[in-house]
Amino acid sequence: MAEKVWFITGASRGFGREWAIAALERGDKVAATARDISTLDDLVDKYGDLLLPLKLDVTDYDADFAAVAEAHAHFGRLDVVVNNAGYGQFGFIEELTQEEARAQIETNLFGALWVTQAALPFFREQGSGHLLQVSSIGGITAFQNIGIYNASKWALEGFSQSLAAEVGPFGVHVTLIEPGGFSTDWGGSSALHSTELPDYADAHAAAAASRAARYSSPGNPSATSDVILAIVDADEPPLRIFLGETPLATAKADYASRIAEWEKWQHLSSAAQG
Amino acid sequence: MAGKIWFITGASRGFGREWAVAALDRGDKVAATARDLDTLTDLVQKYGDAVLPIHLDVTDREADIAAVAQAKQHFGRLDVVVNNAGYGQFGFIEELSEKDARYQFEVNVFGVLWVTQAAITVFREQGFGHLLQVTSMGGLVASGPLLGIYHSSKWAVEAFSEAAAGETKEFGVKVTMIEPGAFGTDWSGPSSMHAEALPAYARQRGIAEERWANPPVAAGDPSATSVAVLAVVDSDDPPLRLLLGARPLPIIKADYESRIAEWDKWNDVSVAAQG
Repeated sequence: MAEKVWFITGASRGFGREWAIAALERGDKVAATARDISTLDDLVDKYGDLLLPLKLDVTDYDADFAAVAEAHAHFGRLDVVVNNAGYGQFGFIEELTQEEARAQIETNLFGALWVTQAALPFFREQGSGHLLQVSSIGGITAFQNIGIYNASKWALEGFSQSLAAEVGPFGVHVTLIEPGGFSTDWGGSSALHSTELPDYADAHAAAAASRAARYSSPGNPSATSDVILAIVDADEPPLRIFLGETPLATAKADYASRIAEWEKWQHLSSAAQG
Repeated sequence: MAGKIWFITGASRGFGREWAVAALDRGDKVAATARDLDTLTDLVQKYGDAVLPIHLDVTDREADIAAVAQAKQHFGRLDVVVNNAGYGQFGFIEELSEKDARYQFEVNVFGVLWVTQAAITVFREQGFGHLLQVTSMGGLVASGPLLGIYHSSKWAVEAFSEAAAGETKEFGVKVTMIEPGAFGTDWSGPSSMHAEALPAYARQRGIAEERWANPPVAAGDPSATSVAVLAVVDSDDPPLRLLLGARPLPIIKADYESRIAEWDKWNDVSVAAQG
């Protein structure tokens, strides 16, 4: 198989950086974006012309379109576009400021949407292309204290599933990558936190304990690279794939519980049909 | 049971109006919001002091907080807050303008979030209150084309509302997501917005529009939903999620089964990623 050309947002650290390196190591070419382009210096030193570093804040609609076009012009095509840039906004729903809520949606949802829109004309023209949307188990289930993050990732899941139906006829693939807990700095230095309301002190302690239990044995980010390469090399990649051992059981239990509740109230639902 | 006090956004038409009328007819009191107050004139004439009409564009956070406070002050408390205002943005993902996408979120997500925040503050203070979030079957499944950003907005509300339910339970606050299937409101008609069409999607658009024009099954009767909504707000132990209509449940089950089958199929790969 010929080498692939990638476009990866948020390549400064975390999964974005892991996967950029994995692609470069096997001789693929990567347009890597970061808000601070100096975070990509060592990759440029090591991989030379295989790497195109691009300064990009994904919340800038015009800049997203320009960056994707530049990558396409530079390498002559685009095979894989990875919407990886994102972060976790922590806080109870009542605690979020307008700015915090908006910024979470700007980066995690609109940033991914604009890059997606920018990639589609090239993918349709080529008759091929693979969009990888970095979602989360938190894009499937919701947890206390990260509701607006959950909202951003559920929203990403929603438009991406619909999109898969829209662009399948053009030979374009969409895959939602759904990591469980990994030892990236997602919950650490990358995260933002709302100011806590005193009334929620006990609830915060409980939410923190619950989160600690969920993330008791985080995965190793570097182990995900082979999986990502397998997905982009697959003839029929999945629409959704979890990364890690724990998400599947979580999702199954959540769906079962939703279905049980709907069934319990189905008499009322049916009566509402009229 | 004493009469309840409601706050309902988007009460000018559709479900918001149906439920406002149902509540008023049984003697409850309703703070009804609309962008155009004239749409509420007939309710005021018929129900008098039982209805408090409030001019509100839900995209204005300060106005949302003020409207909730006004309703609480006027009636003395708030029992039920219904986030009903919303609309459907049609368009293939590639066709959406920045404005199309942003406005869908301003109304359907941020508008709901701001009212939710205002309601939670009041509810916690009271030690009770019931938040009804009007999402959609399309807030759970998104298997078809043309409504991607609408799905996105409703999935977002489902997510933060579930988080909020857990966060506020200990304060006596209840949250229910109302998830209608297809109903004969004007949701896909005059209430909807449409992105500028790209020729590349003409064939798919034709198929999708044909399906909208000739739905495989009859739409539900909006007036039949009021009984279910009243039953939910009167329940001591209301559900987190309630579908409206007989048909959504099998569709959702099939979608969940298909997701699980795909995850199962790739599970060896998923587990290998654990490291």
